[in-house]
Amino acid sequence: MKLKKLIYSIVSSLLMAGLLCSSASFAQEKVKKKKKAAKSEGASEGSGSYRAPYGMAGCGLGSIIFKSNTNSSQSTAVTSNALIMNQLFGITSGTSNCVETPAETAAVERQVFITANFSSLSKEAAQGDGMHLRAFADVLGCADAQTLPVFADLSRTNHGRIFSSEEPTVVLKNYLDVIKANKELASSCERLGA
Amino acid sequence: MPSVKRRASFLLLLLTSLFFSLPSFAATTAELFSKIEEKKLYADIRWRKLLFYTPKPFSSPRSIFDTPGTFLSPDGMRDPQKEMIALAAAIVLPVEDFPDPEKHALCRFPARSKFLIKELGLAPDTLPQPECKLVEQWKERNKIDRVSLVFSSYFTNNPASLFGHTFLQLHKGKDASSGSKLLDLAVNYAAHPPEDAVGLFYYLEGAFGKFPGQYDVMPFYVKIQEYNNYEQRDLWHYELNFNNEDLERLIDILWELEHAAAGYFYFDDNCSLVILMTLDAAKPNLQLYESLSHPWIIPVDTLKAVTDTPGLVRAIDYTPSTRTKFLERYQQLNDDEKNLVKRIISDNSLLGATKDLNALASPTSKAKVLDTVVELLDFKDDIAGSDLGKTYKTLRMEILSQRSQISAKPETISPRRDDEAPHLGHRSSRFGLGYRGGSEQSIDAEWRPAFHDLLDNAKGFPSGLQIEFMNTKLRYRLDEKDLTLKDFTLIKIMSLPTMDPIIRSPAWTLGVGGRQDTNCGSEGTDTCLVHYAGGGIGETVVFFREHLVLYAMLRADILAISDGYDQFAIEPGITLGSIARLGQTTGLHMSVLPSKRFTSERQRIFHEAKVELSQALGKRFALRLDATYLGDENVSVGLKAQFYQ
Repeated sequence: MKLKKLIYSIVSSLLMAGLLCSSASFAQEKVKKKKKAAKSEGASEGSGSYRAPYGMAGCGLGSIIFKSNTNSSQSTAVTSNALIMNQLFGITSGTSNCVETPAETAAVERQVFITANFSSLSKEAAQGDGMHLRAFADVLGCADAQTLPVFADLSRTNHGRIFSSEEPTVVLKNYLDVIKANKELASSCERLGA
Repeated sequence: MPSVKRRASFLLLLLTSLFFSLPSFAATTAELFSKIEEKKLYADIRWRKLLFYTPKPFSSPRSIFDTPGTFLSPDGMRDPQKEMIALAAAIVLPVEDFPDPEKHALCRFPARSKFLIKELGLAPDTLPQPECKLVEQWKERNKIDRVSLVFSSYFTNNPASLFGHTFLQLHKGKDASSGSKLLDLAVNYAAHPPEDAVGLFYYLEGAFGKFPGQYDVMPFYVKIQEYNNYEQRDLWHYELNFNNEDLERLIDILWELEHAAAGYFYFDDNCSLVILMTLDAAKPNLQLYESLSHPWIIPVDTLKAVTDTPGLVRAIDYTPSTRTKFLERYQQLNDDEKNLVKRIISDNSLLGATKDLNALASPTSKAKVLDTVVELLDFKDDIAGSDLGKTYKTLRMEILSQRSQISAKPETISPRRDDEAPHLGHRSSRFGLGYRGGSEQSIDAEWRPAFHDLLDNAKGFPSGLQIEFMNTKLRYRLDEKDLTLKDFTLIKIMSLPTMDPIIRSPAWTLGVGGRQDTNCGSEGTDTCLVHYAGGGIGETVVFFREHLVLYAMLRADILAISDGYDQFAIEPGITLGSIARLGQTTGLHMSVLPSKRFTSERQRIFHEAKVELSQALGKRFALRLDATYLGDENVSVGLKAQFYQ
């Protein structure tokens, strides 16, 4: 019986192991365009009103796209800096490698959220509702019962102004500008950053 | 009494009481070792589970992990006693010896240490007290109060997805989150092949365990983007009945093993199995691994091990894929609205539809159309992450711009269909025994290790998807009294998309195997072994809400014939078929498969037709009746009983 089990597992594994859960890793891909986007994040923007906090430049996240892995049944999330996912959220590493203070943690969380959920957020902001929009409100600290509807409405009515770029970093800056310009949100949202 | 004596006895009393109230001595390794030996604690099943030991066919049980640093003892991977002794020796080391207290065994191995401390009844103040800040801060920041096992479901155009995939969702408590599942944490276990792994070597290396596997922790929204949006797979979340102690132990285990890699990636060590073993290690009374019924494990089998355990699943949640959301939104439209959707997509522009859009009854109606179109083009382009589209990028921007001017909220959709819940599916392997009468009187025995065909009980499966591995058929011919391997299908896949024609996907099939062919030799009447590989592509047409599916495919096979006459052949053909389903348990499949075989010497036309009726009897049994025509001299009728295990 044991020999049978071994034969089965060898033969089956020849076929199935290649298909099953082979790769859901975050591959590092040095794409020039994405690297450029990552670099610009660390430097001051022209207007000077948004500057990435200390330490973030090394964890730059230009974009997150998904690639089919033709050899397996899973896809690969490709970022311009593969390290950020486990550095930010890994259990042992925490945020110690990327950021220095809780304020910077919030900044990185905003950045990662908008980059990873960019397409969904642009859709739901236009619709004025959705689980990504609500989660983003949570990240910004605008999620309580009174603030959320204001946030959602503002996202929709300013959609063109906010999503005027294809770069998540720029869109984030636009978003924060729009929110801060609204008196009610500027005072009730808790995690807008400086 | 003279005062000197009094003072002396008082002093004696003081000294004596001081002696007995001195702080207890620190626990010594000798004490620990003797307690361990007395209880034979290293043989405890819970200790083995914490070390992720599994039985091996030719040797004693061993851990699936083999990264240095996963064990304190060099033999820790195969000797639970040595590992426990090493841990006991390590936890009593003074904190001063460690410039970085996090390297102390009590911080590096919190789950194993706590097990040892609790089972040996050690008092905390007899042990060193290093500050294990990192794990405590992590727990404090995330306040995990629940855990779910998440299963990513099937997608018709991706047959490999039929096996599913499992990972964990760590839910953040109310004080750490507003409750959005997006902001929970996903814990995934997967192989991390080196970047230069390529092609065939990738498969072989994966099969023989060259890739290390590892845990990854990330925000749950990454998994939603990956599965729901990029792969069009629904997510089913099975919330587990873990108490606070189990959750604490689970986090401690992930902490201990975050960088542990399972170097052996055999089929029986795959990712879903590691997730299952993680649950077993975290909740002491669980025996999920032992409950598995095959040596080979498909991820959905691990899900069923969980759902078959009474009281383990508290609740089931569901997150739909883009494809599912589109289908639901589309169903909510009236005919005018549906036509607008079709027009906008085929034009890839709003221009032609603007007048009609604005003439719709209300802004809400226009919003519904726009919401449906954007969902459709997100599906078509597999929009996920930062991607804003390829084919339909400009259209998407225009639609969102128009949509943002309408204040109507999107329609709520509740697409969850409980009868499609993946844990309800029949078991993965199937045995069959049947009798065949007619031109080939015989008894057939069949074994299919995995997984599902178009007539199996459809509950828990998507319709129109078939994937079979290593289907083996033995035939004992009653007239000639001989036993042969009639059929061996290495792999057979069939995908019959059953969606509305608005999403045009082709039907396709793929098959590799060998069979006993009765059309060999110069006269074409001999029996010989034929190996084949081939596929087909075509269309499906659906009626009566998927109760009737018609398909037509063009096929071609390459054959290797061993009859001493022909060597190779090419056999193109056509398949026409219909599948009628009455509920999930009854199905009728009729097919005709004419083909023409071309060899170097000649050509022959073959006709094949089959009618097969299947009736499921509960989840574990089924009956099949078929009539098969393979030529004027070869007509037979068969009745088969099937058992799912």
